[in-house]
Amino acid sequence: MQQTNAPKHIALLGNPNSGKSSLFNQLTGLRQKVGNFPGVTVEKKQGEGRLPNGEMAVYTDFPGAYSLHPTSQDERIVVQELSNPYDAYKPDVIIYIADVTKLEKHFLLLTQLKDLNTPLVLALNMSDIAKQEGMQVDVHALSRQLDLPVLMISTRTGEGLEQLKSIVQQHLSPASLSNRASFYPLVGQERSVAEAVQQIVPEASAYQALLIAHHYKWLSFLSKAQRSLIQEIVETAGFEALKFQVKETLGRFERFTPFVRQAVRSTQNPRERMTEKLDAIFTHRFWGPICFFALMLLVFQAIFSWATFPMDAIEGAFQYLGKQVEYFLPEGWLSSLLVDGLLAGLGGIVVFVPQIAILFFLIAILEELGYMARAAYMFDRVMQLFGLNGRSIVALISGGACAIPAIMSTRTIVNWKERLITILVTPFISCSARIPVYTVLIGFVVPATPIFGPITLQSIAFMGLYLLGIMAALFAALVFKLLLRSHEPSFLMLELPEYRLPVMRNVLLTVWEKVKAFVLEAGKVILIISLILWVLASFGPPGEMAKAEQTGITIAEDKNLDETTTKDLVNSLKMESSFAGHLGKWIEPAIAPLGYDWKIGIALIASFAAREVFVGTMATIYSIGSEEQELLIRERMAREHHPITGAPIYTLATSMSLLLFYVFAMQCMGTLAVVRRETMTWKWPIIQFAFMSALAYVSAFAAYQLLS
Amino acid sequence: MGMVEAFKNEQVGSRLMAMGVLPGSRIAVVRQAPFGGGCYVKVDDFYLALRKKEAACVLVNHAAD
Repeated sequence: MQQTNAPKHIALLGNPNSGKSSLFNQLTGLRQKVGNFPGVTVEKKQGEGRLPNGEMAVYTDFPGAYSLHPTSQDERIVVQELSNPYDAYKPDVIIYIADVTKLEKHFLLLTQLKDLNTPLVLALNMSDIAKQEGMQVDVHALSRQLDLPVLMISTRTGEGLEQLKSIVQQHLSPASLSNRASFYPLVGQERSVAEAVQQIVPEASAYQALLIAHHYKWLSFLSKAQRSLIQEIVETAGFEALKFQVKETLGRFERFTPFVRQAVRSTQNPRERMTEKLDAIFTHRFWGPICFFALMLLVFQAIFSWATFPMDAIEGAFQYLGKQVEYFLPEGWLSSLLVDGLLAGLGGIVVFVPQIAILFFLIAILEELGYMARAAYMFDRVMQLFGLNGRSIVALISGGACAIPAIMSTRTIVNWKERLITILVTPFISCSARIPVYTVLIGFVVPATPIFGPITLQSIAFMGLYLLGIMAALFAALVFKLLLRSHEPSFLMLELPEYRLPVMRNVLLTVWEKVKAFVLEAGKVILIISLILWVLASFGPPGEMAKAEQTGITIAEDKNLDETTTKDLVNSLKMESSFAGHLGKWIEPAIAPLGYDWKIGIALIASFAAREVFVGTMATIYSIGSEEQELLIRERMAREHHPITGAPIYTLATSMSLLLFYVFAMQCMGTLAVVRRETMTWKWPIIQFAFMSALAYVSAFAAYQLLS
Repeated sequence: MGMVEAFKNEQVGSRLMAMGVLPGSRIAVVRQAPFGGGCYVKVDDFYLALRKKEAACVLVNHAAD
């Protein structure tokens, strides 16, 4: 009989590096979306997948965790969700993924989850490797000892996945929820405290109650009254949380270690030897960092050399498209809206998809290989000098792609001060959205003189801008290190997983997800802003546009200008009297010392929503202001001259000043929103916005004043 | 190569235990980190990066082997 039409919720849990996300990708494919955990506004990856009976199920990919006694924000999310007896979206089944080649250490969290009394299935991952290496795994013995369904799977080959789905389906019926014996029965004080907590939170199971007693201070589903009552219980009982945490951990290990060792027999592991050999070089005291920098250089070169061809193709396609629209549509506002507003804005963003895709591709590969943990290990000491943690390097590198996922990756940093500093300085790292601005402006002022092999003066300039961003990040970190106080302990304690070949499905899914987010999310903003700009630039306060046209024609007649120059002059004057012109003029006094005119002012204002808007905005502004309808923004900028003096607008000084502004300025609403979410207050995003903008303004000012 | 006996600090100890470093685990320092940082440690069948301070909390019995 059909129970309800609501989709079943299936949670994926496991230690870090267990292959959990890989399984998630296998089960859901492209049907993934990123939402929030209810109440805690923390990112939650969910996806849909079909069960063997045709029913749709919703899978949730939880962050990797070692224990329900959490130390990092990521682990807290897991505890918060699973110890909550009120949760309406409680998983119907939990799939626990464990690496069969290192089974013991995966069983702590497994047995903790078992005691939560949610139907649980144990999937032993890496069956392919186990087979290759002649490992003997007694699945039945494990299943008997744990009183759980257990099966072997491989997220790499897809083996066992169909079986996993049908086991999950069997356990979806409420009948399967038998009252199982606890793996770790509560005795003595643990029991009495848990029972007392159950008086206050009657919905909680015994183990949930114990978890609440341990972590009541930050579990947000508790009401204020509940929290203070629990505090009273814990304090009167003299419940020493840390002591019992250790006791519980040891108690669980003591119980499962013997039968796990019996059930799994492994021989010498060849991957281990491989990892040791590779790490002898890649984490070497001297060669390790050198390899790191060489890799980063390679990533750079790839972004620029591989992307050239697809970028040219996209640029060409948009030019063609614009010409077609103009050819088929009669001249008028519709044609202008489509070509100058829509296509100009859109072309400005799609062109950067290749670079962004390549960057995310390479970072995902480094992550999948297991290299990121090595980088964190090698640079921990250096990062500590700047008030950061070794793990910060993962955020800083990912920040090169996009600050938003980078900031979210800081949840593995235990110490709040280190995490906060990482969050605050990561946006200084030049993200992929700055690539468009850099490309256009560098292409404009720096000649493509070859230096060595494929390296040109332009790629050196690019690198310089990135280095500048890194230096700003480290400098700001140092300042925050001195300003902020912290008494929390700081940890590295990082697992270095064995190297493994990246699963291309995972890498490509990451690239797909990020590119989609860029095109849809950023694209939406860019499109809307481009359209608003087109309206603002095409219309003005009543009468002013017409008056400007008249003035232009009069001046042209006086000076005896030819037809094209006249048109350009008229258009420029019209733009100046439009709404956008008024807006630009309004901030011109503030930005004139940086060398910008009111047109750049318009682009700057628009860029505060998202910096990638700059190029699209420039394209829109200059398309409207110019007679020629082609999409090469660089050529248009070269033609920009002051309408009266005739001096070029884009000089070396202006371009440098603009570049510096874009290196340092916080121009991304998305990042500010994420910082607000991760720090739970508007204080930090406001501080971040203020200091980044101040640094941008001052350095742009200095550059312009020195160079002009 | 030695055997983990105990942890000097409960906080560090409980974290290490959750990651699978327990009294009785075999432990060895594989190499030192660049820039005078921590160390690369092998525990039973997996690898960990520890800071010097963290490593100092692990009491190891070298006679066990």
